[in-house]
Order: sequence, then structure tokens, then C-alpha cells
Amino acid sequence: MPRILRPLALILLAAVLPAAASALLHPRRPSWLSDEIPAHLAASNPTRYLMVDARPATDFATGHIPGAVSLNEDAWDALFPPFLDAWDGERPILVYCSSLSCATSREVAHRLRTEAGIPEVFVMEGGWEAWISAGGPAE
Amino acid sequence: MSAPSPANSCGCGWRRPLLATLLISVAGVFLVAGTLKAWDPAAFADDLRNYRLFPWPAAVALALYLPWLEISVGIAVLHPRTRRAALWLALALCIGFLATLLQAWARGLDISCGCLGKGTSSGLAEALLRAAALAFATVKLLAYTPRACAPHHSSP
Repeated sequence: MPRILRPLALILLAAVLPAAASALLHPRRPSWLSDEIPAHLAASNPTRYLMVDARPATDFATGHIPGAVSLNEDAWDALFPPFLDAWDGERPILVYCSSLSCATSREVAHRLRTEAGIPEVFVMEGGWEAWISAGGPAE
Repeated sequence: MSAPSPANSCGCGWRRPLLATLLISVAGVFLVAGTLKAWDPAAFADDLRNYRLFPWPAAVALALYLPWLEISVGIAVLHPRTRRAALWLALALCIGFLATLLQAWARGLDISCGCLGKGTSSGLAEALLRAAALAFATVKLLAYTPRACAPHHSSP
């Protein structure tokens, strides 16, 4: 057995115990359940969520999901109060941005969870592009 | 009669300070990067998901394990008995990370690399350069840390 294998195994195994401890005890451990909702599922039951559009204002003005509230990081302070007015405190939030490669919906969702303390915040997989492809309505 | 010490063939002289500096740098990068990611594994899992390479449960498992592996590698690089194994592992991690970054760049993904945890967003180009530099340093260390330099048992 090559001599390098034993120290290699030792290094790999040395990380297992703290990783397991993190999985059980870390206050910022990730949930094993995904927070992404596929666009076609969201489109089949759009009223279940309060839709939050994380795209720039110009994109929102061009077209958005009916009933969606604009909330992006560029104008967070200005847009957050209208978002709170639109949210009834109970409906889960579904944030979307432009497409699969866009990460701003994730950033907005993170802020809603951490800064606003809203627990049920999800992200639409594929964003606006996927919503349109799934036949979701637009206004 | 024991074999003559191979110390003189092990990068001594002018190379020793350079090798020591490289070793400490590589170890430091892995220790710092691992610690920052271990601090917030949920954020790291989010970053991993943005690469669109792994299903969510795999991203969670990696987010929990990889930071501690990096810390383990950083410590092992500093110890002579585990140095070569740690350097090989470091190189494998660098190559894996480079491949991940390259696929994200090729797919036009707009993401923060997550290299040093959340809140330290850096562009893909910057992350690619850093990873390439780290891989290069690791290769150099492997080349100049021959097996003979590791503590060995003298024959009786």
C-alpha cells in the first residue's frame, strides 16, 4: 500500500467529525430541504405565494408576474415599506429574478430571511424566463 | 550502519526560505478559507448551489464537509509526516475548484465565487487567478518536497 495513502486517509477522516458536528449543532447550518420552487409549479398555483420581483425597476416595468411586488437591492430602502404593505404576514414569499444564471433573487431572499426575519421565503428556479416558458401569466 | 541523511538533497540552502514561505502561504490560504466557510455553512451551501452543478443535498453535504477538509489540509501541510499527502489533496481541491469556476464562466453564471465565505464577493476572473496561483504554488511545493525529505526510519 503506497505510503501516502495512510496520511491521506487521516486528513480526509479528520474533517469528518467536525463536519458531522456542524451538521447537528452549527447555528448557521443549512437546511437539507431546498428553498427553490420550480417555475412550472409556481405557475400552477400562483396565488399561493406573494411574488417578489428582484430585477431592476426597468425590467419590472417591462413585464412582471401579476401581483408581484418589486423589491431589489438597488432601491431596498424605498421598496421595502411597500413590500411590507403588500405582505399579509402569512403568505410564503417567492422571489424571482431574470433567469437561471441570475443570483439576485437569492440575495433578496437572504435579506428577507435575515434582516426582516421572514421564515418562509423561497426562490423561483429559473426566474422570469422559466415562468414565461412554463406559460405563466405576465402583465 | 544507517543510510546517509538525504537532507542535503531536500531543497536546502537558498531554496529553504522560499519553500518555507510557500508552505506557510498555502497552509494559511487553506486555513483562512476553510475557517471563513465553516463559520457560515448555510451561506456556503447557497454559493455552491449557484454553480448549478450539484443537487441541493449534495451542496449541503459539501458545504458542511469541505471547509473542515480545507482546515485539515492547511494543518497537515505544515507537518512533515503529512505534508506530501496534504499537498496532493490541496492540488486536487485547487483543480476541482478551477474546473467549477471555469464551467460557471463558460455558462455565463453571475455568481460570487464563495471562496472566502459570504460577504466577500469576488468576480470569477479574480477567483480563477487566485485558484490558479494556489495550484501553481502547490505544484512547486510538491516538486521541491521530495519523498526523501519526509522523516523516514533509518535501517538498522
